[in-house]
Amino acid sequence: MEKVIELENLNKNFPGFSINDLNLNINKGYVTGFVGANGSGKSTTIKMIMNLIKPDSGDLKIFGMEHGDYEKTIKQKIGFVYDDNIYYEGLSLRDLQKIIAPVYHDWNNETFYNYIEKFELPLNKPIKNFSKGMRMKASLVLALSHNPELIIMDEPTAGLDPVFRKDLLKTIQEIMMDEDKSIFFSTHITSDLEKIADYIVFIKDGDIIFNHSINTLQNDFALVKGNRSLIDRDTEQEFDYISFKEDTFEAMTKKPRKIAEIFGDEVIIDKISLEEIMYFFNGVE
Amino acid sequence: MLYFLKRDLILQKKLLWLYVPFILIFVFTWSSPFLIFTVAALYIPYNALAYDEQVNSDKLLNSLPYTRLEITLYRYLGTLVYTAVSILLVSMILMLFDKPFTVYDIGIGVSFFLLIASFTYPLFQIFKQGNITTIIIVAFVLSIGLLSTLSEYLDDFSNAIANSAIDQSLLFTVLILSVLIIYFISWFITYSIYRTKDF
Amino acid sequence: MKILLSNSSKDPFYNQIYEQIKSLILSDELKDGEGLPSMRKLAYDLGVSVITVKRAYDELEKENFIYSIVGKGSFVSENNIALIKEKKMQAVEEQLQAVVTNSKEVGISLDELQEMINLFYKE
Repeated sequence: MEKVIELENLNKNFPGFSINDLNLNINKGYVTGFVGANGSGKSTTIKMIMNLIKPDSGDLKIFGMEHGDYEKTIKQKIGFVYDDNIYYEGLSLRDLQKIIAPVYHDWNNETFYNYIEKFELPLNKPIKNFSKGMRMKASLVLALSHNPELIIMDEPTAGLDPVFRKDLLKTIQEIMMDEDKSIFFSTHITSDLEKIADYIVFIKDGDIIFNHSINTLQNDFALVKGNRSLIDRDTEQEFDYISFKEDTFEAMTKKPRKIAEIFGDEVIIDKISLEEIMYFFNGVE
Repeated sequence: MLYFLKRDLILQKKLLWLYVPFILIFVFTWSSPFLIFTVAALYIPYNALAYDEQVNSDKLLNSLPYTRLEITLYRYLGTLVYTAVSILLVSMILMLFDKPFTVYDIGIGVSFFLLIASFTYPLFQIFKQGNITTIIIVAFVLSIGLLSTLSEYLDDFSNAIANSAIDQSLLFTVLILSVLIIYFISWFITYSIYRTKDF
Repeated sequence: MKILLSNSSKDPFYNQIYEQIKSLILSDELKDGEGLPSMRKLAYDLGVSVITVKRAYDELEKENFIYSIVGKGSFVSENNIALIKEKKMQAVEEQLQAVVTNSKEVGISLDELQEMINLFYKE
C-alpha cells in the first residue's frame, strides 16, 4: 500500500522527554487516528511531520519526499489544523483569506465560500469574537480551501461539543470520498475514531505501541470477564493485561477465539472499546 | 514575499492611519531631521513584530509552504521596503512643511535605524516569545534616548561631513555599504538561530 | 442499498456489512451483475470507515459473491458455484424448517424424523 507519511528511526531529545527510534507509516487514502495520553508525544510527532520541530536524527518522508529539498512542495499539499490559536486574533476570515490564498497554488475561492456557508461562519467578524467551535471550523476552512492531499490535525475536537464534533467527522468522511486524500489526526476522544478511522496509531511515552486497522482492533482484541479463580499460571498466558477486582477479573486478550475454546461459557467475551484498549496498555499491571 | 508585505499591511490597517500623525509629532517636536527618518522607519516593522508575538505566528508561517530561509529573509527585505516607503513619506512631509533636510540626514537616519534592526532582530530569536513586546519597548526607548543625546554630536558630524574636504559621496557610500553589510550579517545570525528552532 | 448497522452488536461492522450484502444477494434483492455502491460512497452513507467496507467487499469477493473491475467498481457475480451452493443451502434450510414445524404439529419425534430422512437419503 502506498504510504503518505514514512517515519524511520526518528529521535528527538527534550529535557525530560524523548522520542527514541520512532517508526511509523501512514497509508495513503485513509483516515489514521493518533491516540495516546497527554504528553505521550503526539504533538511532537505531528510537529516533526510539519517540520516545526527538527528531529535529532532519522528519516522523515512525506509523499515520498524529504523536507530538506522539498519542504515547499510538501507543504503546498498539506492542510493543517492545530488546537492552539495560530491565526491573528484581530483579523476576519476575509482578511485571512486575502493573506493565505496567494500562498497556495491550488487555493480555490469557491471551495472557501462553500465551507464558510456550510459551517455558517461570519466572513467579516474578527476571529477573537469566535467561539471555540467556530475557531476550529475557521481553521478547517483555511486548511481545506487549497484542496490538500494530506490533512494533519492536532486535537481538532478538543473542547468541542458533540454537535461540532459530528460536523467535523461528517466533513472528514466527505473528504475521504476521494481516494487520493489522507487524513492524520490526533485526538483523545476515542469514540470519534471508532467509527470513521481506518487505522489507529497508539503512542505511549514516545513509543508507538501499535498501528492497527480498525478491523484488526475489533476482530482480534476482546475484553474478557470472569471469576478470578479461573486465572492460574497457565491461563494467565492467554491474556495481555489483567486487572483484578475482589473475586473477578477483567482482561484484554488478542486471542479471543482461543479464550473461547479454553474457557467456553465460563467467561464473558465482550467487544472492547478503544478507550479500554488504551486503558489496559496505559498501565494495568 | 508578497505574502509577508500583504500580511503586515492587513494586520496594521488600523495602525497605518496613525502613521502620518506619528511622523508629524516628531516633525514638530524634534529639530534633527535625521532622527525623524530613524523613528519613521521603525514604525511598520516593529509593529509587525509586536503583532506576530500575540499569536504563535511562527507555527503558522512554518506550516505554510515557506522555508525558514525565506521567512527570515523576507522579514529583512520587507524591512528595507518599509524603510524606502518611510523615506518617501518623511521627505514629502518635510518638504510640505518647508523643513530643510539633506540627503545625508536620510543616509544617517536610515543607517541608524538599520543598525538598531540589525541588533534587535537576532535578539528576538534568542529571547522567548512573550518578551518580544518588552524588548521592542525597551529597544525603542533606549534608542530614542541614545539618539537624543547623540543627536547634537551627530548633527555636528553630519555638518562636519558636509563641510569637510573629504570626498563626501565616497564617505557616504562607504557608510551605507558598511551598514548594509552589518544588516546582512544580522540576517545570517538570525537565520542560523531560526533554522534549528523548535516551534 | 439497505444496510443497518448495530453499535451494540458483538459482530464487528465489517462482518455486519458482509452478512447483510450476502443475504441481499442470496435473496435476489441484489441481482446478478448489478453494481454495488463504491466502497467510499457506502462508507460515507453508513458513517463507517472506508477500510471497514473494504474488508466486507474483500471477503465477499473472496467467496465469489461479487467481483471487482478496477476503475469500474464491484458487481454481483453471475452464476458462480459458491453462490448457487449458498442458494441451495438456503432453500434446503427453509424446507427443513417447514418439515420440522409440520412434524412437530403432528407429533413426529426427532428420532422418527431422522429415520425417515435416512431412508429418503439412501434412495
